[in-house]
Amino acid sequence: MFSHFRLSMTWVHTWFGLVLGFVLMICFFFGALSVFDREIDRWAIPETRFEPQPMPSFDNLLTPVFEKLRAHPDDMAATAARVIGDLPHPDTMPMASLYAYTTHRDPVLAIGAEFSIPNQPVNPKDDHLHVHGWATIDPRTGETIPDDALKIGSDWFYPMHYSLNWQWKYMGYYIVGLAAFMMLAALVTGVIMHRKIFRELFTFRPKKRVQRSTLDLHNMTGVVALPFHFFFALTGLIIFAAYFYLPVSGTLLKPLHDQHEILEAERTGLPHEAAGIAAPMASVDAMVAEAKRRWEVRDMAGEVGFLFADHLGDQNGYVSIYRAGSDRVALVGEGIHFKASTGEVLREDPPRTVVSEINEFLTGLHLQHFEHWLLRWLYVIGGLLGCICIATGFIFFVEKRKHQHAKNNSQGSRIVDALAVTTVPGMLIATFAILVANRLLPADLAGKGDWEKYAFWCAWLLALLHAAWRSAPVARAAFNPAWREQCWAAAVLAVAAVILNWISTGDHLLKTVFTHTYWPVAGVDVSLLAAAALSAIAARKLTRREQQAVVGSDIAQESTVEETGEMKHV
Amino acid sequence: MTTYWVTINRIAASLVGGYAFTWGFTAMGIAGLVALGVDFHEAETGVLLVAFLVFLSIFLWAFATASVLRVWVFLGGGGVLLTTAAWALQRALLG
Repeated sequence: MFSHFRLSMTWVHTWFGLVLGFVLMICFFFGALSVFDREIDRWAIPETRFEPQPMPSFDNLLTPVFEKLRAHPDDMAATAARVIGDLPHPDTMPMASLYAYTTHRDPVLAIGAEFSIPNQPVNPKDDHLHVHGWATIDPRTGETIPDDALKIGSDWFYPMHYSLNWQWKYMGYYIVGLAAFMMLAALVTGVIMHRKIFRELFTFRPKKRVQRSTLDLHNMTGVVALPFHFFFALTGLIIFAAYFYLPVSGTLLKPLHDQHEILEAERTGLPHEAAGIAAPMASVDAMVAEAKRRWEVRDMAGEVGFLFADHLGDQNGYVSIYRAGSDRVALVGEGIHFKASTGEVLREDPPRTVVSEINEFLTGLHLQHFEHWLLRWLYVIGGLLGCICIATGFIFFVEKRKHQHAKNNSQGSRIVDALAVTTVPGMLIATFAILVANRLLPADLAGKGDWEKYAFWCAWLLALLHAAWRSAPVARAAFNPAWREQCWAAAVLAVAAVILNWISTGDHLLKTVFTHTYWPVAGVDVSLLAAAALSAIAARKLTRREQQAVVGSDIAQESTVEETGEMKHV
Repeated sequence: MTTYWVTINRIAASLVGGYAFTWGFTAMGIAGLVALGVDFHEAETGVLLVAFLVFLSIFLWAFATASVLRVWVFLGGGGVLLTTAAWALQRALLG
């Protein structure tokens, strides 16, 4: 198919990079926002704008909260489709297990539970028959945050970067997985194409023709952040590998896996099944105190990050208490397990093995639950560099081909350019639109979170239609004004979000930075203003380029000749 | 029209064949390590850490190599062989 090795690698880079680049833009951009997902949540849900809280008392505060927790209507509907017969009323379902989860950045506490049901599954192989319930509570009072209040950071932007928020048959996860894999391929093939890898680090000639300076920027951002990009794409795949991408142990090797689970339960003493004999729950607070004491003895005093109880109200019930990983890269760990009915220690997790230590380190570095604000910002910069790298790839693709396409009457460049507009300024418009909708819609509106999601998708769809409509000049090798227009739209929306936050909550920047310092909200506002400023600068530069292009198109044609030599193989 | 099919065939060989081979590699890797006495989850975690690097290498090889038939034979055939071997080994282990 190809005459030599480098040509074949160039083909892979260009075509897989182009097709999946649009998905990768979403992964990198919303991945960068996910670094501050909890802070964006605070901005979007003003009643949660208070300081992070430790895990509250289970006996006093959480016990009554869990008594009120019921199966969630969403999961009731999903489960109803999987079982034979009607589900019992949520009030009558016994709670089988529960969890509570918090991090060093969370003012609110996430809780959830599994409820047992008597129904048989439609598919006999379906062996996990529970209905789930979940809620977010204020750990100071135990009050529930309304279910309609969408956590725009951790429940919208964050899942967007690994699932595109497209849950049907988990298609979003698979598409993102393929895109992440192609990111790895694009990085390797990119290096093979360019050879002079070190020189690219220092090469950026913004005054040259668009095609040349775009390629410089593409190479520079690709090379500068190469380890970052490779690491995130690879660990992203590893995180979901066992469940989505290579589910060997859930399918082909399931018998071997299940046998291991039973042996594991025997070895750890944590019962795999309930005994069927009722037993009360001892004081969980005493267990927490004992867990903390044991961590301190090991010279790693810490707070509780994750609390889990299984086989509730049964003699085989146990409580697992995990330490919050704020001071380490690996996720929550150092689990200590108690017999629920007596509070005696059943087991202390042994130190991790080398393999799982490596795995926890790699995935922990991706998920970044630990406390390190400088690194957090470096992640944002790395993610945005990834976006620049991909976006310049699109622009280079168009710049390189549009004259040829114009001659052949091909619409290729135009389509790519319109999609590039949709995934660069268009994505910003969608992002800012959901924040604007969040501040415009009344807090007590029924289904508020759904309306915010519609605002997000509608804004993005409008950006796509606008980009497609305005892109006709690209087919004549001219400039697409949609870039400039959408940059302005993004700038206006970002400023509007900041002003609406001020009007609706009274939290303006003077207050959140100086008088009542609250960095989560101040950080979002400052970032919005920075994005607005950059968008406006970009829009102005684009205006100037367009004016110059009209005057100087002949001069530009001449300078191509000297530069095409070195770009031929790209 | 023929160039279309050449391209589609190459993409299918690289992705479908490559995935089949990676699947077989993962299954056989886990089953093999378990047979050697490694804990199941340890084996799974370890193999999945390298699985995508294996996939990446064979995916790029699938484009670099001259014959697409060779790609299908090595990757498709290898995938089927490894998967079958993993399944047989599991049966022997569960005995």
